[in-house]
Amino acid sequence: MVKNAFAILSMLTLTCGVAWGQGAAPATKPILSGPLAKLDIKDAQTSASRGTPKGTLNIGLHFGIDPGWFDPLGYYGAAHQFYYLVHDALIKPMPQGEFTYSLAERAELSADFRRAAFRLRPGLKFQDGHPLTTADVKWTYENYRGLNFKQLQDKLENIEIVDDRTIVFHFKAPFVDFLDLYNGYGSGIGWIVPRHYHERVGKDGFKARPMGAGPFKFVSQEAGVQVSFEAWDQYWRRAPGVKTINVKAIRDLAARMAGLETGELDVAYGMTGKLLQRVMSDPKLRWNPNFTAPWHLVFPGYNESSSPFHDQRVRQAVSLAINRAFLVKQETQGIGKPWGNWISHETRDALRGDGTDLPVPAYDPAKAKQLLAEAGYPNGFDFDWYVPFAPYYDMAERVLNDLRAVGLRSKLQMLDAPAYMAQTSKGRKGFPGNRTIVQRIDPRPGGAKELIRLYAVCGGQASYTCEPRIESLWTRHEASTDVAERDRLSKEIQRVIIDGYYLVPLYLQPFVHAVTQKVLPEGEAVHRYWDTQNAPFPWPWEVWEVKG
Amino acid sequence: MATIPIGAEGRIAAVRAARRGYRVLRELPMVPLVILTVLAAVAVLAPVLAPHGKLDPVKPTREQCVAKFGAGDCPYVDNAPPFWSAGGRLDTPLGTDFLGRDVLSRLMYGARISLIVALTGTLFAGAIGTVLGVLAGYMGRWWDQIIMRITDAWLTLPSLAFAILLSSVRGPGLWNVVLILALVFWSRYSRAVRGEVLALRERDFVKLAEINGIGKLTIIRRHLIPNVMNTVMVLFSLQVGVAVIIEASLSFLGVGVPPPEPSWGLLMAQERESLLEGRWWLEVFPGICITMLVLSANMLGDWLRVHLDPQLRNR
Repeated sequence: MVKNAFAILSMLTLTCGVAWGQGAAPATKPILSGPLAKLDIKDAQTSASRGTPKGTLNIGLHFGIDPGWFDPLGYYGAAHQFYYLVHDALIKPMPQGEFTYSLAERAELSADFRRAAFRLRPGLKFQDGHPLTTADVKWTYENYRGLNFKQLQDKLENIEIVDDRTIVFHFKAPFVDFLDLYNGYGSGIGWIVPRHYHERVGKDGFKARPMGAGPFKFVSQEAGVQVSFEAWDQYWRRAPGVKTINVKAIRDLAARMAGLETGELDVAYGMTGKLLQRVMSDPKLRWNPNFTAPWHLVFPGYNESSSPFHDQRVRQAVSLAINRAFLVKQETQGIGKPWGNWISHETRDALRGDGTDLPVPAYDPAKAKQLLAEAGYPNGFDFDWYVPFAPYYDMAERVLNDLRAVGLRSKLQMLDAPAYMAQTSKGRKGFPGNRTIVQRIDPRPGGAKELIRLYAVCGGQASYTCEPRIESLWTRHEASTDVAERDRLSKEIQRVIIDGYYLVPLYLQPFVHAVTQKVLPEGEAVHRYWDTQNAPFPWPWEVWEVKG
Repeated sequence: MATIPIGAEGRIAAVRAARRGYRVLRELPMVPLVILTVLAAVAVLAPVLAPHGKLDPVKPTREQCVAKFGAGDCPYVDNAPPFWSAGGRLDTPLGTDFLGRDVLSRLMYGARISLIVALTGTLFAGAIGTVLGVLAGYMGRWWDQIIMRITDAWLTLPSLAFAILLSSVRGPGLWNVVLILALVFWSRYSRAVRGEVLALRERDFVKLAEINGIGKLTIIRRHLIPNVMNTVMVLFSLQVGVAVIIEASLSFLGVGVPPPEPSWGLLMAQERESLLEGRWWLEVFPGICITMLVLSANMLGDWLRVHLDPQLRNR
């Protein structure tokens, strides 16, 4: 597996050093004039021989499917697993690297971060045979309304179409993070939507029957329950290995397990929890720990004085009350890791939460009770809701049990994934009142700063914290074009967040996936499917193969 | 001529009373009554009867921790089997769940929630449905038209699907489930009561009351509602069983009573995976409780239906 800490270092680095036309893109002539920022974008792996797709891959997803996830223009939540099937991006995270060329064969960023340019591969087409040109790229950018859209639109001055394959983005001010946001997994804006088709069928029509330039064509869907895709053998990179992919929403862990055992499913996600031991001991199954990101707790509205979580001692008590070591043992058979940061270990610039950079949070219920008493809650208090991510309700109840032991009592609000993701993507605004704890996880690429921007600063689209100290550091971060300084500031903000208990990390989540013997290659080589960094799901899908 | 010895009248009266009492008792549906009484008593006395708390894990012994985790201390021992199985203990007679909580105690407290939700939900539904049914049947004309068309439309809605829809709008919560049950089931009462009132309003005592200038509200209150109570009671007892099932289904689907409160449906939902692992006791005991309650309510309803209907009673 490439997924390890060392690989993080090989990801894109926007160095402060300036080089003249030093892109790592294929040797083609430069697009932009003047000095360029040095980029580390990996080449796409293409297959010279086009094989024939064969077999069916049945995937058991652990939550319901929102048809809105098929339209990149309105991106939120867990949509990328479907983008990697139906759509394609100019650059996107792939096993080769966090930044890998896809529809684009060359990308450039001016040294002053005010211009970005892309050159598309020749002969690109959408699945209906319509040519994919820079007009589609421009239209997608201009019509994107999903996560981070405000920042992407506000910074844009204009988009210049040089020709059908070449496009230049001009920004009003230095836009250092442009490629992080434009990279496929950073938002939905990098996934190119066919303008001709979207305008013809409309927004709802597109959600009902999406079409793009990705390796799989959409075939049919039962809204929320199942979606079927078929290989598009004209995909530019290679013909997909599998002919048909069915994604089935099966929230029930036991049903997914039964699906694997009966052969109805070939892959199942989210096998952590009560049946993990059974997965691990089944000789007919193979499993990948698939470490994604740390679970963490947030306190929407904590900075309102009427919130009990306003007092840092209460938030610290929450952290001290949780027996992470036992939680990890019970929930993950010990393969999870208690963690001291809320940002994934695979994320660029993230402080490690295993004691290297940040300490592993302590378990001390006596001190938690003492802190609560000092904060004016000697008998604890009831709070409105504890909101977990579907379907990790057992884990949530374990956490709630620990909190109850120190006097913090509540009940679970059980939301299905689309509702949970829609609410959490609004940040504090998604949760009325200020007596709620939300359990979150986000394995987002683009560096730690992208998570800070989204969740931890006042203007963040899904912000849960708003603190003057963080704001001041963030303002300096945003004003700086010195990547080293930005990196330092990003790390300082992470420390402030952890020291102030604004977000309370739990443990590094192994989002265990299990596959049956039908999936090729046989043996341990199957782990190659989980090589993409920061990817909760095993994309790209075109490389998957199954027996006949 | 037979004579009765002095002082024997009292004994004879006592014997007669005992015989009468026995006859009444013999006619009562003893099995459902006993079950319902026991369940009601358990629900009311749960805090006294339950060996452990409903939410807190049972503190394990050192030996249990060593056997399970290889350490002398642990927060709880999960999934302990019932006392008659190997590894079971008498202080957790029906075993423990995934959080080391006593299954028997949670079942006892669960009876409270299931009964509260089913009884109050059905009661509210009965109240709404009875009032609307009486109004439609007695007032007639546009009252009848509007109420009955809404009732007919309501009756076409599949109850569980409708309950899930309402639940997703209202959100999970004990009193929300009560409200949902009331909103789902009122139409069954209004349809039945309206039919009854149509016949009652033509009866002499109602006509005489009208001739004497008694107000409509008084007639409804004094003459109609008391006369439809038999029907309402039968429906009520039958609907309680259905309400238990709906509550259990909503909780099973995650839109009913929110965890960690122990509703029977929720207890089953939370341990779906356990059957695969052979931990049958976590699923079977709540299932038995639901079955017993529903079956008893239905048997009682059936008995009431027969005994409150003169035609069926005299057959």
